[in-house]
Amino acid sequence: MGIHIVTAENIGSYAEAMEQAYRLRHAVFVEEMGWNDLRRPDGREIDQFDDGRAVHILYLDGDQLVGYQRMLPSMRPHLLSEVMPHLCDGDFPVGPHIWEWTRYCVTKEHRDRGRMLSLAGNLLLSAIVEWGLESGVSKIIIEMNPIWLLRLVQLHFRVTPLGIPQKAGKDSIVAVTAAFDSRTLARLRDVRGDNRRAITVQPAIDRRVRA
Amino acid sequence: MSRRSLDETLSFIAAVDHAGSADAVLKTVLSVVKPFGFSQVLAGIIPLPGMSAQQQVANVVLHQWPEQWSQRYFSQGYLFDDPTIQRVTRSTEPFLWSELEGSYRDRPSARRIMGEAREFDLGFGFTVPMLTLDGQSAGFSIASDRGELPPQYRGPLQLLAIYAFGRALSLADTPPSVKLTPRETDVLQWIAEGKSDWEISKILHVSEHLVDKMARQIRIKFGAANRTQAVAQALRHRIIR
Repeated sequence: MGIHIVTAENIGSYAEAMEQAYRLRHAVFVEEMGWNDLRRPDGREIDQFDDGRAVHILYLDGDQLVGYQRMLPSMRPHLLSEVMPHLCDGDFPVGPHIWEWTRYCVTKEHRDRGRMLSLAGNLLLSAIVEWGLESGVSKIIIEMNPIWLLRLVQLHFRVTPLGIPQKAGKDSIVAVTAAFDSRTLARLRDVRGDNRRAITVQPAIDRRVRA
Repeated sequence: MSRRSLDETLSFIAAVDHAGSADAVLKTVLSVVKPFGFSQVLAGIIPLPGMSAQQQVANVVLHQWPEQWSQRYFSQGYLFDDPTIQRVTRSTEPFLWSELEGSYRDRPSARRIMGEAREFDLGFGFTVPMLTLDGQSAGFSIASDRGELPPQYRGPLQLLAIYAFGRALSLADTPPSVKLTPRETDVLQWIAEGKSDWEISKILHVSEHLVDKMARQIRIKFGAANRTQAVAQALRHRIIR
């Protein structure tokens, strides 16, 4: 079990896992959550942002996909700027240190027990922070139901709203930035009760940046 | 309009981040909600069914609520029949209490609770449901005797509730550096058990005036807005039980 960072560098070796990722995205966002705009006849949810600059973060158990999320650079078109600009009342947060977190999903079997943050959820969040701290990223843009905001605050993210929550169907949605640092990582590991690194595999180019 | 709401929300968040006590958080909240006519605030983690009155009070993190009502509410176990609490555990969307009326028309216990609350000037309320990291439901309510809330203020108030609660919860989880005298501990223990100042004065063989004075001293030591808030903190950190 481990977290894999997938970029243009190494996506070639993840063809099968990425296939599972697109199918999980369709199952969760279209079939479960009813985002019908994303429906595709082949059951693979892929959009215009899945290009060479997207960073896919996969949580794999052997070759089985357990969880997924995608990071998009704020310097290029992303969901807040292209799809949900109405959620941002001021200027768009833009910079090399700011990336957008989207398409977070976990297979049904690995979801929150009760309503606690699941191990899969913790590992995926920890992976963002580990990846961010090592790649000069310190802030993420999130569009989410405001109910999750308290949880991020409790995990020592510094969460700042970009707009006022809006109704989307019967639920609310708010755009925020969440800044993090090593304290956030320590907190996530503490909550997980495990001090080990969440990321197990990442492309060579990331390691070069780190060195 | 929304740019201004956002700016106001951001300055509220900055103010709440600097609040050093539950009392300071409450004052910041009240300064924002008073213009809407709200004067009462109650926030806490929703107790699980079967929890004692003391455990319920220990779950309170912000309390600016009619004290006599809280006393009755917790000691009578009203919480478990309260339709606002039931909604908080089932829904993620903020709501006005008036929107629930249809849902408890057939439940006399719920109707009685909402009716009695009205007698304590809690006739009009707005509640924001939340979810903690541990997966517990939490609620943040503001209330007054009557009023109205224009729909465009719901979003800003939802954010206000979440940040105020987050700050209050982190303050509540920090063990207070409070040193109570044995006498003060006794007084607080009896307050937690619902005794009046007069009853405590008889139990401890002191004047009622002294009990009141000690209660105020205890409140100040905890930086609490009122007795219930002080009791909640003391229970949470097992200064009393």
